Amino acid sequence: MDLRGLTIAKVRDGLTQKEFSCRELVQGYLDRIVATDQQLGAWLRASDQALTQATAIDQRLAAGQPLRPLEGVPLAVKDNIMMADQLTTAGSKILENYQAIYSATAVNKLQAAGAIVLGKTNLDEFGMGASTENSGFHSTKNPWDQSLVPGGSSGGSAVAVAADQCLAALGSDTGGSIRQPAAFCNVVGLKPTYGRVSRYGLIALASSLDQIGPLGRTVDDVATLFSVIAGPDDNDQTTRAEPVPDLNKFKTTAIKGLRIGWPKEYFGEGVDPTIVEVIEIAVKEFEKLGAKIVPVSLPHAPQGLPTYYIILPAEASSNLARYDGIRYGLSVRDGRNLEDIYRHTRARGFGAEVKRRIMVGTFSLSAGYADAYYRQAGRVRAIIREEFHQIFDQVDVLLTPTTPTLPFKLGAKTADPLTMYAADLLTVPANLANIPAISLPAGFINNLPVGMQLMAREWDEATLIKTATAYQQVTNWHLRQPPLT
Amino acid sequence: MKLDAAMIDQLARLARMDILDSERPQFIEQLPRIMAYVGQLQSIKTEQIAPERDHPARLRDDLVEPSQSAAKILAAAPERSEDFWKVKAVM
Repeated sequence: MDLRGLTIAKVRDGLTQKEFSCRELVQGYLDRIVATDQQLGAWLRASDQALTQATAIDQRLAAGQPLRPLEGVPLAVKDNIMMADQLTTAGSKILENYQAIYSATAVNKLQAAGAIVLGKTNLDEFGMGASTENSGFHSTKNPWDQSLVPGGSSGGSAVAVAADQCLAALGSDTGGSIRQPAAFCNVVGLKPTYGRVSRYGLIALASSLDQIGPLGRTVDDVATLFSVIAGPDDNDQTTRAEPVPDLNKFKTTAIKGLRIGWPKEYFGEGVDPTIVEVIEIAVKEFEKLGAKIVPVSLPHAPQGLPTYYIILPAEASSNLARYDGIRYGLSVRDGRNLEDIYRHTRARGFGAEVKRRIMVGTFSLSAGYADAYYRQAGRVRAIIREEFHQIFDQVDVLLTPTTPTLPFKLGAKTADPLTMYAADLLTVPANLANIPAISLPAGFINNLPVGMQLMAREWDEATLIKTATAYQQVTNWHLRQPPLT
Repeated sequence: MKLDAAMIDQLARLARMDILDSERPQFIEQLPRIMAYVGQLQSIKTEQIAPERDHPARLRDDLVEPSQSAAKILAAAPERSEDFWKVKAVM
């Protein structure tokens, strides 16, 4: 069947009108994965249960049961999000054969809403990277140009959506890992407010920054997934009982009078001027819709990158201490004593970028250096957070590019970690400030997609969704398809 | 700060993680550059700033509830003896 242009709403209509069965739909996606993933490498493995689940949904429909919010929607899940009794590797050799014993709350919620998980997607090891080249298994290619990276770390999920290998996907975003690959692949990606979506069952990278979120082709699809996975969870004490927005309110949107902030620091040094031009054109669409553009300043936002690259490795070095070869995962037992198990297992199981970050984190937290590095980064983070809090007294959303560059060549940044870190320049401040942010397609340069980022105050995903929906109603960048056969 | 080869070996020891010979030269070259880059934060005046406040955590009631299956958890053990994880001698 033809999967192009499908959305959650169209799947719903198709199943209701009996234009196709859920089994035909799922088989269509599985065939598409087989046909295209040899080239793209978006997936680590397919589920062997998807067709059985599709048949069960066809039986529900035949029995006249009411449709659930995601009935029959075929999804991809990033492989750092656990599904009970299935392999979950986080893209790492140290977890190559690790079978999760429970499912992430986000996955449970999606499945309870009728979604079908087609399989697990590739990522940079433990989420450490901006190109999906740091996967312990293979690289993923950008469907717009297979000599380019898809972004990362949720590169597999972004490519799977862009290449019609699934309808929508889950990713995780610690410093841009949903938004940056969404921008590079011409899809929509939402990083919710910190504490909005349960991280129970998400393999931890940096716990004060990590957040699970959806990727999809349209803002509407992303909003639908978001509304299902959002909400408090007793298994994640950082989640909060803030009311989840009623998304039906945003189907028709009016943004007349909306105040859109234009933070000058996001358009300066290190940002490709041709990307700035594309975003300037996008802003004109918002002006036509009656929004008011307000120039603003976030003086410490450029310090977000070095702040992030202290806080993240510090937290990651602590979180990754659990991979010790004792309880699960790889275990190298060729040494003499207990400590040899730790040292040899971690030497062989972790890739180079993971080791780099563990050492940077260990340094930043070590006696004599913690005040100058880790605690200073915490104080700068407080300044950045306060600047964002204050800016939302003046504006309702902030509009910026998502990435400082277009998708880059495979291998171009692997030799120098600092050039790879720079890819996160425009996305990390939202994580440091705990605020929600969305990336959506905003145009093309030489047939390569450009993403626009919108940020809003804590818990105000509603305004992001409304604003992004208004833009997609008057543009069609998100409808462009990558050149795949 | 002297992030030299000896310091890198010390960090690897603290992290209980050997560095492969093939990785050592790149780490010796890269880690000082990374620390110099993130070290730019030290020029920001923060004397008046309290470190970021913790995200307020919700506390749940302290109740005894069924947890994950011990049998499933132990099934993942690389080496076990009855209901224990087996390790090599500590010393």
